[in-house]
Amino acid sequence: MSPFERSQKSPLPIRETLRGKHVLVTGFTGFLGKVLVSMLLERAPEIGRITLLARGKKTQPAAKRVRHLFERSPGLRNLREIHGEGLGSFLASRVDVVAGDVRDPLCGIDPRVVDRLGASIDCVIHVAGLTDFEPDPLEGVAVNVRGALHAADLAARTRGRRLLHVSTSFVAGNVSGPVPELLEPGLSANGTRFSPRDELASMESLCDATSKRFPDPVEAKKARIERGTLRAQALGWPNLYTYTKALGEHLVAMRGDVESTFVRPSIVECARELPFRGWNEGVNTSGPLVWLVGTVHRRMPFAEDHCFDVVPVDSVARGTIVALAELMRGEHARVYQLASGDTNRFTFGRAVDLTSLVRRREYARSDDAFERLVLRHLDSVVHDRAADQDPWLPAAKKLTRGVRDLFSAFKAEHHLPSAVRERFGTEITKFAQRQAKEWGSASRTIGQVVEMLRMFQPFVFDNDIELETHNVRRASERVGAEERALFGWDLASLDWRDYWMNVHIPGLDKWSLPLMHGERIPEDPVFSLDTDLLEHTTREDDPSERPRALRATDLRAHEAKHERSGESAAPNDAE
Amino acid sequence: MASGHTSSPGASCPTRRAAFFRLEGVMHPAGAWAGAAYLASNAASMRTRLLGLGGAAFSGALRGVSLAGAGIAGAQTTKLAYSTIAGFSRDRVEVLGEDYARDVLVPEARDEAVRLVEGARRDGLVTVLLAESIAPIADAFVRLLAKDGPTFDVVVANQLELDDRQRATGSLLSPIISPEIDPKRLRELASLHAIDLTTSRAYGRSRADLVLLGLVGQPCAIEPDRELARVARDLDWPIVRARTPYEVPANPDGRELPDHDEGASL
Repeated sequence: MSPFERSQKSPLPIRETLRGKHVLVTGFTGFLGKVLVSMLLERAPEIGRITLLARGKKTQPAAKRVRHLFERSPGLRNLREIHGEGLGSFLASRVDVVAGDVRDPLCGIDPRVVDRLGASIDCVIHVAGLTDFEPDPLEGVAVNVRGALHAADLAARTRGRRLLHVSTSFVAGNVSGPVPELLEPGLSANGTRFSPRDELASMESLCDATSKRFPDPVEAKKARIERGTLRAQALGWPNLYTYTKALGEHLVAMRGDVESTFVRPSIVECARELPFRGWNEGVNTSGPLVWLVGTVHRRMPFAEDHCFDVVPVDSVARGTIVALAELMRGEHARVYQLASGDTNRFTFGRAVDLTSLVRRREYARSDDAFERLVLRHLDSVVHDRAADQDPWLPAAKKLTRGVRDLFSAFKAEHHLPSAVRERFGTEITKFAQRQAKEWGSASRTIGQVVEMLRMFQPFVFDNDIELETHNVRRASERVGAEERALFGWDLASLDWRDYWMNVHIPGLDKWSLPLMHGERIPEDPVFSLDTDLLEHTTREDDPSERPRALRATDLRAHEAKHERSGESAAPNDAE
Repeated sequence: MASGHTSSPGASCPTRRAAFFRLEGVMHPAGAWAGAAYLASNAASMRTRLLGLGGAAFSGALRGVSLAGAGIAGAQTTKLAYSTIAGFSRDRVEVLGEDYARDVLVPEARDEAVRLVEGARRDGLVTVLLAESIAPIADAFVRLLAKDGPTFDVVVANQLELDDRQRATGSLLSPIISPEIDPKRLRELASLHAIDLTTSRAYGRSRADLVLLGLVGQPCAIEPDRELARVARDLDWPIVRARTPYEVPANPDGRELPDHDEGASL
């Protein structure tokens, strides 16, 4: 029996394993990052220290940005509710901040700071990443490939030399059927042998060459995306997102100087319980699909029985912490897929059916007559046809654009008789302007959905993957009953109907879908930390240059400035 | 007997008294076909909606004919009504069943019947709901009614057959709860729950409930149709009406009558 096999028979005490440990987390400002950190702080307060890597800006130093999130982000509401006024003191004893950017070497941290911090860091948890399906390859490579390598470089200079790398299950590529938890560097998704290092170099040179060929930045970006996507597809990945994430995995896995493990969530969606039921951030994969079901468009271009592999964000955080505990003890697997399909399969057909049922109930109570009398009775049905073969949405886009043009072209002096114009001209003109705006907005939204469906097609129609999750389930079984309730992998018992109807869709309606209409998501009420977060800088060696105290007055001044400029004070990282 | 029990003592000695209520007719005026029509009218596909509505309406008409003594078995009309939702997902059946119970059954439940359930519970009787409707509707009715009112200890309802993909095949699982209660099945149910039928109560509304009423020691007619009213009068069964003065039956054999609330017009 190997040491690994022996370890699998022993218990996995998570809090004891994390007691006094120091981890550095990238991507804290993103969706998963917040939930992961809040779960660690809420359920494993024994952890020694969490250093959060965050990008600083001229107007907003990293510590200020992080502090603002702890004070206002709904994703960290649970910590505010638990600790109340004492949250500042609690955070000061557990959390500090270092400014940096994963696109830069050593994640943009000054080497002197790295040396000082690295002496105590046991593990780097690399969550940051770009989740756009079609990123500019320049950015995709910089964040998802170089960023992963920079995180590995950083981990190699720490005491623990451990890296937990958060990737995606969809690195499996264009495949159908069971997907085992394997990672073989140099073997692409379609089985082609390739050199990850050469692939990175050739993708970067492809980007350079394309940029030089097209002087117009917009044209250059479009060409980079087209060529990069072709390259990704040649190796069996459906898009640049999965390609760059996979390349990052392969390159990190080839390194011998860090002990690494790869956590691969599938489609990360609304929380089941932490920070609270239904929380979501940004527009994730299911948002546009759910939005579409609520419209007059009835025929969804999905494969009815294909797996819709959704996982709540807090379940992903649980699985990540279990993997972290095994990594800390040197008892880890190479890959942990965090998915639902192999134990509790959810399908696109079921998602459409449940979404229709939710919308039906809402529309039945709506004050809007169109919703109550028309939309309520237009349940969506799965139409086993790919999005690129569906003529209805492009036609709807043309129609709405045509109506917009008609209203835009309306001129009271040309189209109304003088008697009517004199009496109602102003009102009618205003009405036409309003309608032009609304139909234009509808046309743009439909255009976005057409584009999204095209991008989602590999996942909602072409491929039916069943992601195996043996490793996280095996690791969870090692966790004692008390801790399993807090950290154990819990998807086998998930009641999809309850989750979808009572958690997920209300969550999307509140936290995600307004973004598709250009609305802003409100932050939580003002809450002021009573203690400042430490930001590591190169000047710490000099006591007179200790990190500047970030007082509440500074924060208020900063917020006021942002409110004036209309800029978001808390931009999110991608993951 | 197909059932969705909410409690099951498992005792075999018949020592408990029970009160049997029919969902269709007694607790609510509408028949089971109305629930099937509600579900069918909310099918995802328009074609299924139209066909389903037609089928459910036809089943309702057949039910009327069967009650008029045309020789059509009540079970056949029940089967026909629920065959209209073939292809429905389990999710859709359960969600729409709950909607039907919430929007139709509970708001329109007969007040006097609800009070009789409350009275039976106060008297320590096992309350049993016999539903010709499918379990998702009956269970939701019981669950929603219990929020502000009485609950049922045992729910017996028809069960939809589902295929491997959790879609309704359009068939009901055997045995089927039909308008006419099968005496053998009722005795089995009573035995399972240690219910003594001779001291139990039952409430019925139509001629189809005569078998049920005849099996228990304390039968009672609620808003009876003409034929049941005639039988009830002949046999001195109590009759509950919502708006008319109650008919006080003679009680020649000294049987204990159901204890009615002051709110129910007896």
